Amino acid sequence: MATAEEPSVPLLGDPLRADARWDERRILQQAKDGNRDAFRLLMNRHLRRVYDVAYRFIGDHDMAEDITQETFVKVHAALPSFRGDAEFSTWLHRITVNIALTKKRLEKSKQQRHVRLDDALDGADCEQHEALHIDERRAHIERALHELPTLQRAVVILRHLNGLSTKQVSDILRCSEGTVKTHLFRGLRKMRSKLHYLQEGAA
Amino acid sequence: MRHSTIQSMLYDFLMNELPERDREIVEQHLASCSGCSRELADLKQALQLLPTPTEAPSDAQNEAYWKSLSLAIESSIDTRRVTQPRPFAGLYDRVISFFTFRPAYGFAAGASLAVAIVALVLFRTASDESPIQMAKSSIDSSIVLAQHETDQRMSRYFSKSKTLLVGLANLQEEESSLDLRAEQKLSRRLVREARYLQQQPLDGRSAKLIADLQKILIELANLEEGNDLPNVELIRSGIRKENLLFKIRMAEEAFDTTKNHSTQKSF
Repeated sequence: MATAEEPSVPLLGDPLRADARWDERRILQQAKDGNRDAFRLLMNRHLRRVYDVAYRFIGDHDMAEDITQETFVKVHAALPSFRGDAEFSTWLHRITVNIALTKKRLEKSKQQRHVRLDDALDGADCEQHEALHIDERRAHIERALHELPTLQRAVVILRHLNGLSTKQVSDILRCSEGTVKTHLFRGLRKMRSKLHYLQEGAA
Repeated sequence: MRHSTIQSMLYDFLMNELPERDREIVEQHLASCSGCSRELADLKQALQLLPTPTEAPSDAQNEAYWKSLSLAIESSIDTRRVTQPRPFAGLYDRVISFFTFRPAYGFAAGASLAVAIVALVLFRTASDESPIQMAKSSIDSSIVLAQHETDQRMSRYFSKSKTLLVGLANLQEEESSLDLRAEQKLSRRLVREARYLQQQPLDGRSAKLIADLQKILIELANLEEGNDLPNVELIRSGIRKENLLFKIRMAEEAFDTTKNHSTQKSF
């Protein structure tokens, strides 16, 4: 009698299923045990999210791609030692944020500030940008965001651009929710004072 | 209620995450306080500036892009696997070689046993001559010596911790690259030293300070690849919050054996 052999990874990319959470744990375990299909599935599930976080920290497609790649290579290497104390997505976010911030810092040091954020603010280029009003406005906002101190920048991006909860952000950054809220408040206030002219102009 | 307390609740107020009671308090305060109302309006405007989470950057890429990225990641994992040496390859050999008998080790073991026997015989003969007196004076002097050594080690420990924390506090946000390997190495050494010191008899304040420092040092030593930026920030805020540098300076003064030593000498 031929019994259908259970596939090693039963769930093939259906995150809307009610037992998706349980399945993720199972897939995670299989990936930890070295199952390549399970790792691929895990990666494909989180690929876009990691890219989004990276992009929002860096503001550049090529670098966001590099960070995504580096993150998953690191996740693959570190997976056997992942104890499951935190949620997998929290752990993944933490790795992404660390790599993104490091890249950003290195980039800063090379003085290769990316054009979208900085050139938009150069006085000489202002005329060229007049036609691109929306893009310019976005560039101003991005610049103000990227000028925030590291922690304030991280909490604003994770909470408001990536839509994570305060609890998730506090888990990723390993600090209390109170600390996250304090940094959010300060960061937003700083952004507002830097960008007051945008809103006054719009009013 | 103080304005700062109200302002610390404004974020939760805007996000509808305040408990009902606090919400009422904030509303009542806002009705009569123009300063806090302005703060709330500013915060609201700042939130409006931010793009909404629905605009995901990943939406700009098509399905084929994600497939090729996924393949690229897998191939770089494979490349790493081929080029990287096995992490514990050397360890296995070392463990095996430790248990392998070598004639030189046998000779060394024999020699040390002989030295130990000679020392025991000598000690017994010496203690026969003046048993109580000799034992007492040797214990007294060894306690003084041990105390002096502990003080010296404490002083060195605090001095090195201070250097480390000052360096960390002065780390510039714009600094070219963040390489904390040297700091991590030092903090690992300090963690080990603290474990020794914690076994010595300590006064309450020093014990507390060492325990507080230990937390910071362990955090620092455990940073991933020395580039764990948000955590570096957290460590720094921990140092500031606990006022650790000031406490270390005080402790360093107290255990500065060179100072005590020189004052003793002058007497």
